[in-house]
Amino acid sequence: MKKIYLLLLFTLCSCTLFAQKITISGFVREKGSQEILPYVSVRVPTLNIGTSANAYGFFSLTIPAKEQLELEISQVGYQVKTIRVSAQKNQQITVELSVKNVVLEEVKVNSSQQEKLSEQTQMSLISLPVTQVKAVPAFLGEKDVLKTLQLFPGIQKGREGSTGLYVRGGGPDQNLLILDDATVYNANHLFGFFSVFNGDALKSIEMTKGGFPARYGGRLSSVIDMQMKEGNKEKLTGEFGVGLLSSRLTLEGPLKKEKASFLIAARRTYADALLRPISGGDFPNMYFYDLNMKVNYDLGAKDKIYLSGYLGRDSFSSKDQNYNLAVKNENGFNWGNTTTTLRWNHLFNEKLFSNTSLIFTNFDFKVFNTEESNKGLFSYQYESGIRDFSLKTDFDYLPNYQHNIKAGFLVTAHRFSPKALVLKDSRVDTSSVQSTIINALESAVYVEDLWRINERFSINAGLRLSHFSVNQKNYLNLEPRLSAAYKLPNDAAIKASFARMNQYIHLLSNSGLGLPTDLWVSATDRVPPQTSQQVALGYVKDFSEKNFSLSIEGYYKKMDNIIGYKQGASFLLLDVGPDPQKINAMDWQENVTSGQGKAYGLELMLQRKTGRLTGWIAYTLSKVTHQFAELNDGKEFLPRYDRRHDISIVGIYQLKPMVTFSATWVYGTGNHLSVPIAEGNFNGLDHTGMTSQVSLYDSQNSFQAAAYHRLDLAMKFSKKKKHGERAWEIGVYNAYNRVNPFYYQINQVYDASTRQMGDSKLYRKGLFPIVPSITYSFKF
Amino acid sequence: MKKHSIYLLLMLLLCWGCNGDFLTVEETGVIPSSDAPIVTAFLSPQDTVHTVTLYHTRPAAGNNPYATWEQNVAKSTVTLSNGNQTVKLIPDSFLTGVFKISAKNFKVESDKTYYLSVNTFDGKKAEANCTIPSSVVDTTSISYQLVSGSTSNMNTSYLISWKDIPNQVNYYAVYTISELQDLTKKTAEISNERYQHTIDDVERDGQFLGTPQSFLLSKPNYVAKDRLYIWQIQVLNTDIHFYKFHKDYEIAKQADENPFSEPVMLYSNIKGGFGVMAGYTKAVTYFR
Repeated sequence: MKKIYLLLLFTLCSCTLFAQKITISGFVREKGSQEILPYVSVRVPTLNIGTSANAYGFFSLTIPAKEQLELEISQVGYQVKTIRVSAQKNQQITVELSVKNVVLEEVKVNSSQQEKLSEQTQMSLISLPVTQVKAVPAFLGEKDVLKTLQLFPGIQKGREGSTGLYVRGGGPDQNLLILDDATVYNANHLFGFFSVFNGDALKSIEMTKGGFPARYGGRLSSVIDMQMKEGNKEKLTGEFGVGLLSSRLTLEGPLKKEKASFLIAARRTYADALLRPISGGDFPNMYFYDLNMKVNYDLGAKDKIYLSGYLGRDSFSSKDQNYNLAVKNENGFNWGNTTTTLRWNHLFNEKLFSNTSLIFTNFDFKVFNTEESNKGLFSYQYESGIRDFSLKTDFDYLPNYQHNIKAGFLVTAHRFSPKALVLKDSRVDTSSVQSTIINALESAVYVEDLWRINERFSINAGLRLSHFSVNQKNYLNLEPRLSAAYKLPNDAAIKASFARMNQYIHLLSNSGLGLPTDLWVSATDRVPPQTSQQVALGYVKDFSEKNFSLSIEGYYKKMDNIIGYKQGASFLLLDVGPDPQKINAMDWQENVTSGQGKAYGLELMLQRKTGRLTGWIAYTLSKVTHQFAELNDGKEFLPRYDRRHDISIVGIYQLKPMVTFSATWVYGTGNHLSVPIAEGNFNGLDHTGMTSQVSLYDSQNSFQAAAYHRLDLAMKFSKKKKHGERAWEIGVYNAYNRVNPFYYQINQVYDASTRQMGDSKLYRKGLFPIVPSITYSFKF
Repeated sequence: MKKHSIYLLLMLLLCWGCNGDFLTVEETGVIPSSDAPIVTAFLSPQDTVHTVTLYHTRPAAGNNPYATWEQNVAKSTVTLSNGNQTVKLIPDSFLTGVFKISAKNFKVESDKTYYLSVNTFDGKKAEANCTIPSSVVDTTSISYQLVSGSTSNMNTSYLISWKDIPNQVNYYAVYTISELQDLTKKTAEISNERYQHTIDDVERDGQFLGTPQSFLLSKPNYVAKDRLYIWQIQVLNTDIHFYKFHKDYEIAKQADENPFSEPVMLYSNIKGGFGVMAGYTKAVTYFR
């Protein structure tokens, strides 16, 4: 046996010694703006080998030395470029790709568009071009990244209009949303009807829902990794848009020619500004805004520095005045995210690349009330939030075209402040601050290797070691990851993956609405981290001649220590008021319980990538079950968002070069709800002789709501103008006015003939009827 | 305020169009609904009268049966049995839906199992059984402690404590009653009747237990010579049905006030209906 090992070792060494190899490396940029392009495919067609650029546009290909060879570089929405390079010694090159002269882009379901699905190792990955987000019809014309992702298989929405994502049986707390390496904890504007991500500022959107590479961790169900644009390095450009809800403006341009650039993108609603004058000042102060900023500087061929940030806030407040009692009152609440990322890209040599990020992220929520009278001032402010400081370094090492090794570490210092109360009362001259702060440290190291074993078989094997420390309690977990792909004849492939994930922070939310009152809390000794293990098996086939691709994936996910809410639990902190005792009584650990979940399903996606008509049909057949010792008598039950059938049909048709028609139709079987089967009166239980009425249920989520379906339409008219391009878009949300269930209500009907209350009936209440919209945008 | 106005604003924003008829649809399919009796029965060897209350649900869909129930509930049959003796309870002439029997006619004893059967006037049947706990709390172990700085007008907060019955799983309820006795007329005026229903002895077997919250007991500054102020403290050793039902019931009452609360599946051991049949023993002590 030893002899065989020695022989193998000798063979490997011989290959290394005698086959002279060279490395071609470099960056890929967009022609014109000089924007770095991530995940670009770089191939040598004659050798049938290739690689992908990383998230920072860097690629490296080590191949046998030759006189010359041709490189084919391609990316979604860009013209394929073939360049001839000398391959006798190591070379570093910069490749520029030109934007394709088409209005529509394609959606790809893998890391690199031009590589066929059958040539990818990774599965369960969605790469969504920003242009696609802008092409799909949207509520009030507000294009939304998260709502577009809801149209893909295995990803379900929550309540009507909500941006919440339920991925392969997981909850909305189990998604990691990253913007330029910074975690965004609350992605909701306007109670979750819109997400905080402004498509104008984004360059790339990637969502992983299974087969997670080892570089990702911290959540059970998905990772949504978004990168902001860097800004045009050549000239000042911009875009503004006016919609029914908000207006937006984006500006980008060079700070120093070919060295530094900036981007700034802002959005704000203006309902408050428009309605306040009409309502005589009584209209509540309601608005949201967000601001994305980024600057970058090329320090040289080997170093680049980026500084990016996001700032967003929602605010709702009202004032009233009682002139008789001379009392002024102001109350309201607001919430917002702030993120800042300082990134340093460093190229050690043609095979080793690193990115180091220093990250700050903060989410805070405040409820306040002030009452001012001639007796004095009384005010209280209730706050909660989470703040992180992180340091992260990732290395990309590409020793040869067969291996792409990634390794790195992440350290995050969390500061949870689930409750803080500030009370001031000048009437009795008191002021007090009560707060609960929990500090925790989360860290991880990982290594993974994308290994192309031969022309047909490739794997991505990785290992992640994660650690979490809070209140002297330590959790240490090893997370193995494996993806494998085997290429079949005729552009088909089978794929499989396994991933174990851990989640050390929990989101407490039982409104299901994406309210800012949802609390992020740490795992504790009483509430352990959530874990999951997921296996997936897939089949893909590319129909190149017909521009179709078919993807079928089956998955099974087991989740342990998932959070459930005990009977009667509520985390709606608006109800607390200025009562410290009531706040202290709301120990969240008392209101949650841990249990298990199982999810399995089958996802199909048929997609047409190019042509005048593009789009996709996505179908998901799935089942999710939960089991908690303290809920439903310990019996298994179907959680609210278990959805047996889920269908999305998306079509984008280019009627004329500058006129686009798009439509989406979605269908989902009804949610599972706990609806009272009766009201019960109980006499004298509290010994006051009074009758108390409580709702009676049979079992958890035993009622199935009506199915959800909706058709949205949009038509976009673009026109070249002297200084740019303008576009009008008209749209209709819920075109056939379907009353989709938002909630249910039992009402007694008044019988006019007997003048008595008659039968009780169950009513389905909708939220949005047919809603038309119109938006205008101008790009210069 | 204030919290209410914020709350209202929130609800308004969320449901801006919900009440319009064009956004309301009556569900006509199979609607989960229950038209069943609600029965509550608490039996104790220390009670002089055994009482069962019979009420009805208001189904989620269909008629409210209140009027029919009010007219006919007395026609229902409610029986208690110990396996050997079966007695029929008599409808109370004043309290609708209340059925009673004197302890003289039906003896309830510790450690024995009792069976309840209900046949309603409209043909519904409900059954339940419970076993009375075997032990009674030692009355001499019951005491009270002043909660410092808690005096408010005539009422003062006290914590009640007692010794857990050892070597068994126990559930307790505590009642306090402030009683002003008229020594001349031999009458008593009860005030401040308070209770805590769900106390357990988990990890405290055989130890002194205390009420989680304090009780307000009346302590007037002046009492006339012919009057006497007495505090009556009852410590109930209850069965698990009593404990589970009251625990859920108290949560359910709070949850019904908050539309964002998780639903509560109210515990019941009544077959064919809702409610509870539970047993307890009672230790009573008086403090002057």
